[in-house]
Amino acid sequence: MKALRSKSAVKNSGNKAENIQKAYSLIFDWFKKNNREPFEFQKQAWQYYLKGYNGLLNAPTGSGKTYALWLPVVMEYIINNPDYKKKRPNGIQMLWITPLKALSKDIEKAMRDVLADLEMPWQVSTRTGDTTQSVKARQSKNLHEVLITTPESVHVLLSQKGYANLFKNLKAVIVDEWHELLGSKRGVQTELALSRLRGVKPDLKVWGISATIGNLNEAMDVLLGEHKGRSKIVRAEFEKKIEIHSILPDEVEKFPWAGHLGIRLIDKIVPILRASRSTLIFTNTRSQSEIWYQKLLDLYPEFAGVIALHHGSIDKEMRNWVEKALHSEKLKVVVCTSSLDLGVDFRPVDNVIQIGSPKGVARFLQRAGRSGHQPDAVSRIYFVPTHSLELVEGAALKEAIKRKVFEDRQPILKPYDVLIQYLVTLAVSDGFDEEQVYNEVKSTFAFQTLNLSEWSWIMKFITSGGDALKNYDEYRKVIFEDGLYKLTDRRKALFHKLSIGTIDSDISMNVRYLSGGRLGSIEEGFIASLKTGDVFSFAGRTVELVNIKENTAYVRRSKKRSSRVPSWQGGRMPLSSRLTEMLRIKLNEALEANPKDIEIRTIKPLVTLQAARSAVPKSNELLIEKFETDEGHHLFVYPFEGRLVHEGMAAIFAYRMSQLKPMTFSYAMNDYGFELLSDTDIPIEDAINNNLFSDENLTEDIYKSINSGELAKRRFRPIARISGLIFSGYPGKYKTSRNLQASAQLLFDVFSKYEPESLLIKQAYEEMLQFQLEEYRLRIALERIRKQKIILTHPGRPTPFAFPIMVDFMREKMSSEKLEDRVRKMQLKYEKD
Amino acid sequence: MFDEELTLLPSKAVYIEKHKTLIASDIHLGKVGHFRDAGIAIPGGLAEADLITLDDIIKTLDVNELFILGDLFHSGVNYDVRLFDAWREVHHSIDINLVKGNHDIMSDQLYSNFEIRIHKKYFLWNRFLFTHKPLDDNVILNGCDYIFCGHVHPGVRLQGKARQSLSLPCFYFSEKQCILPAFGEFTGKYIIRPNGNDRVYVVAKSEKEYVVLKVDKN
Repeated sequence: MKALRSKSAVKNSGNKAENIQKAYSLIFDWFKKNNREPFEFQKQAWQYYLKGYNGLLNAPTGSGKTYALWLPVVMEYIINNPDYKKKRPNGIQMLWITPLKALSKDIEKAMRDVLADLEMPWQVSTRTGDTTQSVKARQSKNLHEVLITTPESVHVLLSQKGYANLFKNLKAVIVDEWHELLGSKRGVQTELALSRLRGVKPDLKVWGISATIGNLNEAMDVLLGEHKGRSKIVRAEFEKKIEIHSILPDEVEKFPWAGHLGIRLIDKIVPILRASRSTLIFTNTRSQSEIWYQKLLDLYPEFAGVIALHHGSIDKEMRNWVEKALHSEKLKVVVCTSSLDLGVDFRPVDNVIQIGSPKGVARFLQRAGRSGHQPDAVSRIYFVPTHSLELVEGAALKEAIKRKVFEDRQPILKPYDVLIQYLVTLAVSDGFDEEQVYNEVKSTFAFQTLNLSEWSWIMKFITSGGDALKNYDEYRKVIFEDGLYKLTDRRKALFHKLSIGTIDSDISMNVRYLSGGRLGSIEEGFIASLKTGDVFSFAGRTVELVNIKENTAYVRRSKKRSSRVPSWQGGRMPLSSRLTEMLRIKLNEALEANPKDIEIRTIKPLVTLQAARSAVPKSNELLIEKFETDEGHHLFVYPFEGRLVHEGMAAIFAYRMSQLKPMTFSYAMNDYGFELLSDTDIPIEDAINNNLFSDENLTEDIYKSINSGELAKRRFRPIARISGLIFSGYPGKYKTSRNLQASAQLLFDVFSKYEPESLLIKQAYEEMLQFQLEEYRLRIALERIRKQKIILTHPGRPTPFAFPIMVDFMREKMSSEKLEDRVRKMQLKYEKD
Repeated sequence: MFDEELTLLPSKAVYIEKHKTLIASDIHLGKVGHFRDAGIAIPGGLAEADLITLDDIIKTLDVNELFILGDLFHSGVNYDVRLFDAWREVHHSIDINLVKGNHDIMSDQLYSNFEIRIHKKYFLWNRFLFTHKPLDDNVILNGCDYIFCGHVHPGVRLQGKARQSLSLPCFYFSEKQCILPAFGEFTGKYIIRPNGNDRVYVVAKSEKEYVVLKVDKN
């Protein structure tokens, strides 16, 4: 503390130095009054901030990260305004961007407490999609000193006339939970908003706050774009103690080879629940959480009243209630999904239980961190495998955490749809100067490679609709007037404002009680599969479908029992490459005489059986199994690369083999490998000799092997919405997802036909390659395979590795046979009523 | 069938050569334009495709009369109606009968401008009854031998070895009636569950092939 003071005193002289000292001592006193001591990283952040740096703070939730970046803004004001207790029209000083509305309340409170203690007359307000119209209207005229908001709401502010005036006194933008925003289009939205705010205030300071990820340096570069010159990463060096326990089946021989629910081990976790004040049970899907909740209540009625369910489709008010009840220690158990990954501090949580693979190291750690929240407490997490092989992941996770291996968050590059939306936003407010905004956009990380021809396509698109849509008035949005690009049509401007945002909300149906009260939302497809009177479980209740009106399904409570649980779509996450790396290492240890991990020792009989029936691949080997059953000819390949890479690889292998002779395949995959199934013999030996693993023509082969048009088309819906091609309707007004999907598909066809070089079509294909197929990982995987030794075995029956894949009914297809020939081999399916 | 020889066209229509009659259902012209009017703009081209298909049939086969079993137009007056107008001018000599479908909501005047004879619910021809919606299986046929209808856009799911499956649009012949597949592109299909004695002919269409095949239950 002393050192700090003298340091600042040397650099500055006279009044300023005094003021700095005064500000520091005010803050130190504040800490003392609250019986606390500032952490080293907080002091570092204050120093760098006050010296004018931009930067990134790497700190976990609950570490006091808010104070690290909120206090220096306060200090700076005190330094520049010795009479800081006097009320004056300051305008906004700090913008605090957070991805999650739920987080804003806690932050707002923490800030208010500081202001009250320091007797500063600043005001703090929150603005999110939920803020009322009257408050928003007031905010549009005059912003309080601090505004806590989401990236979308910042863009809404940028769509208002005279926004530059609103921000003229802005000093700092803090982006909280930047790691969450980074890999999404919301991150790009943030980058664009920052570029504009910098245009208004060139000396703006920008700081991000991020949990630990593999690419922190890159994360900062993305946030700061061209302005990364004077910047710093400040790390909160917490050595958080984490205990990881895997829940082991009594007899691995009797534990299922396949599965994804994990209910089998329910009895084993009950003692943990009983012994602690509160436990969070994380599941990977919403359906799974519903099932676990029901089962726990069925088997252990003692938990009635102290157990709750929390997932993204449950009504917000019910979720808020659960969060509050957890906070006040009224609940003992909460079954949840990633809906509780982020968010409010839950100090009372003792334990976390993870059901099934968490798919990534960072996610597992983040969930573990939900327990033992005080900086010095131990986080305790239990891993519950859902099938035998998954136990290996328990050991792999431990190893990864020991080695401090973290996944990267890949930033999104050049999403044209987001740029289009942003430009129209600027046109709606005050209009924009083309050259100025082009340079600002180029200064962002996401659009650093944007070239002039892309830019001019986009300008043409927003002014005329482009070649495909030039005949339609509704796409002539932006006009050139007095040197600026503007949108003056009030109806189009309104539509645009209503459409700001990049989150692709699933279009779903509300579920309400007949007597009133909303339970949450369910996908249309599930409701469509029900008849009136059918009973299903939702939000932890058993209900009966009474009727459907518009987009609401009315239900009443039911005493009947039902195992029907809604399913929600949503991609199955692939295992991260960091985790698969560890997995391969651990699997090999199972063949050693005395494996050190308990998980590996437990799984040993199974791995031994795998070795006896077929083989267990070493790290320099690729295992391929081939056998025939009544079902047809099976080929299993185990690259251990995560399901998305396997999906792409399965499609390419199927395609390449079908070039040797006309064949039809169906294929399935999991995180460990994939299966090709055909009605005729699979010529794998031939294929290996014919460059099966080559990456020559890889992209072309991908396009030919998967229904790339179809996949890109599905990617196109959010793109069409974000870029304003389809209007998803007034808030609360019903438009069926089928309707929207159909229109997006039609648009896709139209573009493909009339303007195939459209950047939006290009984007759909690129997103498909990048996110759907992880092309980059696929290439690396193929490269690895080419160096590996191929072990081809012919087991007589399914092996432990094969079984979980074989029973997966979600299958893709690939065919080089004539449709006519295929139909001739088939027969009508008479479905059971 | 009942002394009439029917040809099932891969373009999803039925042709009776003896009478030079073409039967099609659920063309849904203007479906594209309908989206456009609802704020989702699409240029034409897709709707034209259906008219071009119709054109091709008429060019290759000898057609005197065209029966449309409902849903000729998808919704109200829009651009595609004008396209149809142009098409009608070229093919003015063909006699057109239309059973009104639930989507045919435009004024009768418009149809008479197109010289289309409209029938509210059904019409009879050579002991065949033409309706839009299928009739109940228990219906007693009186004064006619068989029914032709549309509306449901039927399709079936096929299954093969090695967990292969396909779903394709079909002509669906049951004891008393034939349900035609939807003629229009982009109209979707509804998977039906055939009974034991029903006959199903699927339309297998891909880039290079275009065939109608009978499929059976084994």
